[in-house]
Amino acid sequence: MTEATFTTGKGAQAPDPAAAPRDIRVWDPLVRLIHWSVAAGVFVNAAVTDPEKQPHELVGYAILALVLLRLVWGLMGPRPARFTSFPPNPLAALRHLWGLFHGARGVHLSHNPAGALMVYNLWATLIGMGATGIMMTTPRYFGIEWVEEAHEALFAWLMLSVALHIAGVLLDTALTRVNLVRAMLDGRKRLPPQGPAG
Amino acid sequence: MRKLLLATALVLATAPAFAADLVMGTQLGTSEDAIRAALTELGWEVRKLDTEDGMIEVYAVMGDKMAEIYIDPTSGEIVKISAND
Repeated sequence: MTEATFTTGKGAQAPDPAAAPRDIRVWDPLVRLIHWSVAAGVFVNAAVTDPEKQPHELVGYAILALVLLRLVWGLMGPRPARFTSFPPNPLAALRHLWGLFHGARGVHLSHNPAGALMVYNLWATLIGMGATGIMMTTPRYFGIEWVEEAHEALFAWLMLSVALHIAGVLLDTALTRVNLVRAMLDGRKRLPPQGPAG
Repeated sequence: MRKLLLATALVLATAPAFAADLVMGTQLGTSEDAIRAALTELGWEVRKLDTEDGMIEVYAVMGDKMAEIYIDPTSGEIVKISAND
């Protein structure tokens, strides 16, 4: 009924079953800084800046740079931040969602399999937005309709993804009782007392 | 020396206008077809032409120059232009 994926390594302390509740470090400061900076940048470019003006471009470059930095971190950062801790696996994601609705309360010390897919989707979408955005500033693609349309379609997809991401975080938090928003703020997942046995 | 300075000043003063060839008030035409023809005549490659807020909006490129031009369709004049140089 319960499954727990405890990853040992630099980022995660070995869970002590006797101690409850347990605080486990999952997100290092850089992961958290990048997460909230990208979120803020997306909000600013979606709601504040004029897409035809320079600030929109500068914020876009910053978001792209942060995503690329996160990808580098995925290769060499602390264990929970690494790609190897959350490989893209659609089947596992489905199994995780199925389990969530059927009583499984697994806690993952990186992204859960569904969250992992969302993370890769968000990165790919942001990189696509950055790429099409930069293209529009070059003489070769300036004023070319399909580039603009791709940028806009990716934006619509990004907004849908962000909504799903937030819904997923809230759902997982409600069902597993592990506050994921807090974990992204202070870096720690606080496992409930009668939490999943490791 | 004085002449050289004068010549430099003259070049600097005229260069931007020459480079863009388009300034506020430049007459381009009152229809999309006329505007396209006028810009093409001036050496611009017209990428996109549409109407935005009652103005005709044009995206045009010449070499490395990119310009977004707004034309008042009643007067045929440029009312707003943003270029990258």
